[in-house]
Amino acid sequence: MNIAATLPASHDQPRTLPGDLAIWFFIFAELLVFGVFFLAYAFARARNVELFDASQLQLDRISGAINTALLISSSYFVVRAVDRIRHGASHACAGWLVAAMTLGGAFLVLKLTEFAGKFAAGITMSTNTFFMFYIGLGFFHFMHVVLGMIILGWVAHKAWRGGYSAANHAGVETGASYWHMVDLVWIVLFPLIYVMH
Amino acid sequence: MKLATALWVLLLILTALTTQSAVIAAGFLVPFVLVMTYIKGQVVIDHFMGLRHATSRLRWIVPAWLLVVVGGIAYTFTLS
Repeated sequence: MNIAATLPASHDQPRTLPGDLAIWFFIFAELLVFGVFFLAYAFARARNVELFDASQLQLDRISGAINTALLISSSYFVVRAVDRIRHGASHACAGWLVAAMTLGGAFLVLKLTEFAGKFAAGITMSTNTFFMFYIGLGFFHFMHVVLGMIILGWVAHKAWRGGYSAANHAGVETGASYWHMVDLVWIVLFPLIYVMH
Repeated sequence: MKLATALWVLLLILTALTTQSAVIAAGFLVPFVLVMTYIKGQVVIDHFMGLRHATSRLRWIVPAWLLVVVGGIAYTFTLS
Protein backbone atom coordinates (compact mmCIF):
# COMPACT_ATOMS: atom_id res chain seq x y z
CA MET A 1 0.00 0.00 0.00
CA ASN A 2 1.32 3.39 -0.97
CA ILE A 3 0.98 5.39 2.24
CA ALA A 4 2.00 8.66 0.61
CA ALA A 5 -0.87 8.38 -1.85
CA THR A 6 -3.39 8.16 1.00
CA LEU A 7 -2.19 11.27 2.79
CA PRO A 8 -4.00 14.53 2.19
CA ALA A 9 -1.99 17.11 0.28
CA SER A 10 -0.70 19.97 2.37
CA HIS A 11 -0.51 23.65 1.41
CA ASP A 12 3.17 23.49 2.35
CA GLN A 13 4.12 20.61 0.07
CA PRO A 14 5.49 21.39 -3.39
CA ARG A 15 2.83 20.42 -5.92
CA THR A 16 2.17 20.64 -9.62
CA LEU A 17 -0.75 22.82 -10.72
CA PRO A 18 -3.87 22.14 -8.61
CA GLY A 19 -6.53 20.06 -10.35
CA ASP A 20 -6.49 18.80 -13.91
CA LEU A 21 -3.94 20.29 -16.30
CA ALA A 22 -6.65 20.74 -18.95
CA ILE A 23 -8.53 23.32 -16.85
CA TRP A 24 -5.37 25.41 -16.65
CA PHE A 25 -5.10 25.70 -20.43
CA PHE A 26 -8.76 26.76 -20.40
CA ILE A 27 -7.98 29.30 -17.65
CA PHE A 28 -4.98 30.66 -19.57
CA ALA A 29 -7.14 31.11 -22.67
CA GLU A 30 -9.86 32.87 -20.65
CA LEU A 31 -7.35 35.18 -19.01
CA LEU A 32 -5.89 36.04 -22.41
CA VAL A 33 -9.31 37.04 -23.74
CA PHE A 34 -10.16 39.10 -20.64
CA GLY A 35 -6.70 40.70 -20.73
CA VAL A 36 -7.21 41.82 -24.32
CA PHE A 37 -10.62 43.27 -23.41
CA PHE A 38 -9.19 45.10 -20.39
CA LEU A 39 -6.38 46.66 -22.42
CA ALA A 40 -8.81 47.51 -25.24
CA TYR A 41 -10.95 49.35 -22.69
CA ALA A 42 -7.91 51.14 -21.27
CA PHE A 43 -6.64 52.28 -24.68
CA ALA A 44 -10.15 53.31 -25.77
CA ARG A 45 -10.48 55.33 -22.57
CA ALA A 46 -7.16 57.09 -23.24
CA ARG A 47 -8.67 58.35 -26.52
CA ASN A 48 -11.99 59.44 -24.96
CA VAL A 49 -11.18 60.46 -21.39
CA GLU A 50 -14.01 62.96 -20.93
CA LEU A 51 -16.65 60.57 -22.29
CA PHE A 52 -15.46 57.65 -20.16
CA ASP A 53 -15.19 59.71 -16.97
CA ALA A 54 -18.65 61.25 -17.45
CA SER A 55 -20.23 57.86 -18.22
CA GLN A 56 -18.52 56.20 -15.26
CA LEU A 57 -20.28 58.64 -12.93
CA GLN A 58 -23.57 56.92 -13.86
CA LEU A 59 -22.38 53.60 -12.40
CA ASP A 60 -23.22 52.41 -8.90
CA ARG A 61 -19.78 51.95 -7.37
CA ILE A 62 -21.19 50.54 -4.13
CA SER A 63 -22.99 47.82 -6.06
CA GLY A 64 -19.70 46.93 -7.75
CA ALA A 65 -17.91 46.88 -4.40
CA ILE A 66 -20.55 44.61 -2.85
CA ASN A 67 -20.20 42.27 -5.81
CA THR A 68 -16.42 42.27 -5.28
CA ALA A 69 -16.91 41.31 -1.63
CA LEU A 70 -19.35 38.57 -2.68
CA LEU A 71 -16.92 37.01 -5.16
CA ILE A 72 -13.92 37.31 -2.82
CA SER A 73 -15.92 35.66 -0.03
CA SER A 74 -17.15 32.91 -2.32
CA SER A 75 -13.55 32.29 -3.38
CA TYR A 76 -12.59 31.99 0.30
CA PHE A 77 -15.43 29.51 0.84
CA VAL A 78 -14.05 27.45 -2.03
CA VAL A 79 -10.63 27.47 -0.33
CA ARG A 80 -12.38 26.08 2.76
CA ALA A 81 -14.08 23.42 0.63
CA VAL A 82 -10.73 22.27 -0.79
CA ASP A 83 -9.26 22.18 2.70
CA ARG A 84 -12.14 20.03 3.95
CA ILE A 85 -11.85 17.46 1.17
CA ARG A 86 -8.09 17.25 1.77
CA HIS A 87 -9.06 16.04 5.22
CA GLY A 88 -11.60 13.61 3.81
CA ALA A 89 -14.68 15.58 4.96
CA SER A 90 -16.91 15.22 1.90
CA HIS A 91 -20.12 16.68 3.34
CA ALA A 92 -18.31 19.69 4.79
CA CYS A 93 -16.68 20.21 1.41
CA ALA A 94 -20.08 20.15 -0.30
CA GLY A 95 -21.44 22.56 2.30
CA TRP A 96 -18.73 25.14 1.66
CA LEU A 97 -19.24 24.80 -2.09
CA VAL A 98 -22.99 25.42 -1.71
CA ALA A 99 -22.17 28.48 0.41
CA ALA A 100 -19.85 29.71 -2.35
CA MET A 101 -22.57 29.13 -4.94
CA THR A 102 -25.05 31.08 -2.82
CA LEU A 103 -22.77 34.11 -2.88
CA GLY A 104 -22.25 33.60 -6.61
CA GLY A 105 -26.04 33.66 -7.00
CA ALA A 106 -26.22 36.89 -5.00
CA PHE A 107 -23.61 38.35 -7.36
CA LEU A 108 -25.78 37.45 -10.36
CA VAL A 109 -28.91 38.97 -8.80
CA LEU A 110 -27.09 42.22 -7.99
CA LYS A 111 -25.56 42.36 -11.45
CA LEU A 112 -28.92 41.77 -13.12
CA THR A 113 -30.44 44.51 -10.98
CA GLU A 114 -27.66 46.83 -12.06
CA PHE A 115 -28.13 46.00 -15.75
CA ALA A 116 -31.92 46.36 -15.45
CA GLY A 117 -31.47 49.84 -13.98
CA LYS A 118 -29.27 50.85 -16.89
CA PHE A 119 -31.65 49.44 -19.50
CA ALA A 120 -34.58 51.17 -17.79
CA ALA A 121 -32.66 54.43 -18.08
CA GLY A 122 -32.34 53.87 -21.81
CA ILE A 123 -28.67 52.89 -21.67
CA THR A 124 -27.60 50.15 -24.06
CA MET A 125 -24.37 48.96 -25.68
CA SER A 126 -25.06 51.46 -28.47
CA THR A 127 -25.17 54.44 -26.11
CA ASN A 128 -21.43 55.08 -26.32
CA THR A 129 -18.05 53.31 -26.24
CA PHE A 130 -17.89 53.25 -22.45
CA PHE A 131 -21.24 51.51 -22.07
CA MET A 132 -20.35 49.11 -24.88
CA PHE A 133 -17.44 47.94 -22.71
CA TYR A 134 -19.40 48.13 -19.44
CA ILE A 135 -22.27 45.98 -20.70
CA GLY A 136 -20.16 43.76 -22.95
CA LEU A 137 -17.46 42.97 -20.40
CA GLY A 138 -19.98 42.74 -17.57
CA PHE A 139 -22.16 40.26 -19.48
CA PHE A 140 -19.11 38.24 -20.60
CA HIS A 141 -17.98 37.95 -16.98
CA PHE A 142 -21.57 37.26 -15.88
CA MET A 143 -21.65 34.19 -18.13
CA HIS A 144 -18.39 32.99 -16.58
CA VAL A 145 -19.95 33.24 -13.12
CA VAL A 146 -22.89 31.16 -14.38
CA LEU A 147 -20.52 28.53 -15.80
CA GLY A 148 -18.49 28.56 -12.59
CA MET A 149 -21.64 27.95 -10.53
CA ILE A 150 -22.60 25.03 -12.76
CA ILE A 151 -19.13 23.53 -12.24
CA LEU A 152 -19.24 24.09 -8.47
CA GLY A 153 -22.74 22.60 -8.34
CA TRP A 154 -21.60 19.48 -10.13
CA VAL A 155 -18.54 19.17 -7.86
CA ALA A 156 -20.66 19.76 -4.72
CA HIS A 157 -23.13 17.07 -5.79
CA LYS A 158 -20.33 14.57 -6.38
CA ALA A 159 -18.67 15.50 -3.08
CA TRP A 160 -21.95 15.04 -1.19
CA ARG A 161 -22.30 11.56 -2.70
CA GLY A 162 -18.77 10.66 -1.56
CA GLY A 163 -17.18 10.88 -4.98
CA TYR A 164 -14.01 12.52 -3.62
CA SER A 165 -11.61 11.62 -0.85
CA ALA A 166 -8.50 12.94 0.86
CA ALA A 167 -6.39 11.01 -1.63
CA ASN A 168 -8.49 11.69 -4.74
CA HIS A 169 -9.94 15.18 -5.03
CA ALA A 170 -8.50 16.60 -8.26
CA GLY A 171 -12.04 17.35 -9.39
CA VAL A 172 -12.61 19.68 -6.44
CA GLU A 173 -9.33 21.50 -7.14
CA THR A 174 -10.25 21.78 -10.82
CA GLY A 175 -13.56 23.47 -10.07
CA ALA A 176 -11.91 25.64 -7.42
CA SER A 177 -9.23 26.84 -9.85
CA TYR A 178 -11.85 27.93 -12.36
CA TRP A 179 -13.85 29.78 -9.70
CA HIS A 180 -10.74 31.61 -8.47
CA MET A 181 -10.06 32.69 -12.06
CA VAL A 182 -13.57 34.20 -12.23
CA ASP A 183 -12.81 36.06 -8.97
CA LEU A 184 -9.39 37.23 -10.20
CA VAL A 185 -10.87 38.70 -13.38
CA TRP A 186 -13.48 40.65 -11.40
CA ILE A 187 -10.76 41.97 -9.08
CA VAL A 188 -9.28 43.75 -12.12
CA LEU A 189 -12.59 44.57 -13.82
CA PHE A 190 -14.16 46.38 -10.84
CA PRO A 191 -11.50 49.08 -10.31
CA LEU A 192 -10.89 49.49 -14.05
CA ILE A 193 -14.51 50.22 -15.00
CA TYR A 194 -16.07 51.48 -11.75
CA VAL A 195 -13.29 53.37 -9.99
CA MET A 196 -10.34 54.58 -12.05
CA HIS A 197 -10.76 57.90 -13.82
CA MET B 1 -6.86 28.00 7.44
CA LYS B 2 -5.93 30.88 9.72
CA LEU B 3 -3.79 32.39 6.96
CA ALA B 4 -6.58 32.00 4.39
CA THR B 5 -9.05 33.65 6.75
CA ALA B 6 -6.67 36.53 7.46
CA LEU B 7 -6.11 37.01 3.72
CA TRP B 8 -9.87 36.98 3.11
CA VAL B 9 -10.27 39.81 5.62
CA LEU B 10 -7.32 41.64 4.02
CA LEU B 11 -8.95 41.36 0.59
CA LEU B 12 -12.19 42.81 1.95
CA ILE B 13 -10.31 45.71 3.55
CA LEU B 14 -8.41 46.44 0.33
CA THR B 15 -11.70 46.37 -1.57
CA ALA B 16 -13.19 48.91 0.84
CA LEU B 17 -10.11 51.11 0.44
CA THR B 18 -10.39 50.90 -3.35
CA THR B 19 -14.06 51.83 -3.22
CA GLN B 20 -13.44 54.82 -0.98
CA SER B 21 -10.49 56.03 -3.03
CA ALA B 22 -12.58 58.87 -4.44
CA VAL B 23 -11.35 60.93 -1.50
CA ILE B 24 -7.77 60.51 -2.68
CA ALA B 25 -6.23 63.38 -4.66
CA ALA B 26 -6.66 62.84 -8.40
CA GLY B 27 -2.95 62.44 -9.05
CA PHE B 28 -2.66 59.53 -6.61
CA LEU B 29 -5.91 57.73 -7.42
CA VAL B 30 -4.72 55.62 -10.34
CA PRO B 31 -1.42 54.41 -8.78
CA PHE B 32 -3.18 53.73 -5.47
CA VAL B 33 -5.97 51.69 -7.04
CA LEU B 34 -3.57 49.80 -9.29
CA VAL B 35 -1.34 48.86 -6.34
CA MET B 36 -4.42 47.68 -4.40
CA THR B 37 -5.56 45.67 -7.43
CA TYR B 38 -2.14 44.09 -7.93
CA ILE B 39 -1.87 43.07 -4.27
CA LYS B 40 -5.38 41.59 -4.27
CA GLY B 41 -4.74 39.69 -7.49
CA GLN B 42 -1.44 38.32 -6.23
CA VAL B 43 -3.04 37.14 -2.97
CA VAL B 44 -5.72 35.25 -4.91
CA ILE B 45 -3.12 33.73 -7.25
CA ASP B 46 -0.68 32.69 -4.52
CA HIS B 47 -2.97 31.56 -1.74
CA PHE B 48 -6.46 30.91 -3.13
CA MET B 49 -5.43 29.38 -6.47
CA GLY B 50 -2.54 27.75 -4.63
CA LEU B 51 0.07 28.62 -7.23
CA ARG B 52 2.59 29.73 -4.61
CA HIS B 53 3.53 26.12 -3.90
CA ALA B 54 2.99 24.74 -7.38
CA THR B 55 6.05 23.32 -9.09
CA SER B 56 4.95 23.49 -12.72
CA ARG B 57 6.67 26.11 -14.89
CA LEU B 58 3.19 27.06 -16.09
CA ARG B 59 2.48 28.61 -12.70
CA TRP B 60 4.20 31.80 -13.85
CA ILE B 61 1.61 32.47 -16.53
CA VAL B 62 -1.10 33.79 -14.21
CA PRO B 63 1.16 36.20 -12.22
CA ALA B 64 2.66 37.34 -15.54
CA TRP B 65 -0.86 37.99 -16.86
CA LEU B 66 -1.66 40.12 -13.82
CA LEU B 67 1.57 42.10 -14.19
CA VAL B 68 1.05 42.73 -17.91
CA VAL B 69 -2.60 43.74 -17.50
CA VAL B 70 -2.03 46.06 -14.53
CA GLY B 71 1.12 47.47 -16.16
CA GLY B 72 -0.69 47.99 -19.46
CA ILE B 73 -3.57 49.77 -17.75
CA ALA B 74 -1.07 51.97 -15.88
CA TYR B 75 0.61 52.85 -19.17
CA THR B 76 -2.66 53.95 -20.80
CA PHE B 77 -3.33 56.32 -17.92
CA THR B 78 -0.02 58.07 -18.67
CA LEU B 79 -1.35 58.78 -22.19
CA SER B 80 -4.33 60.82 -20.98
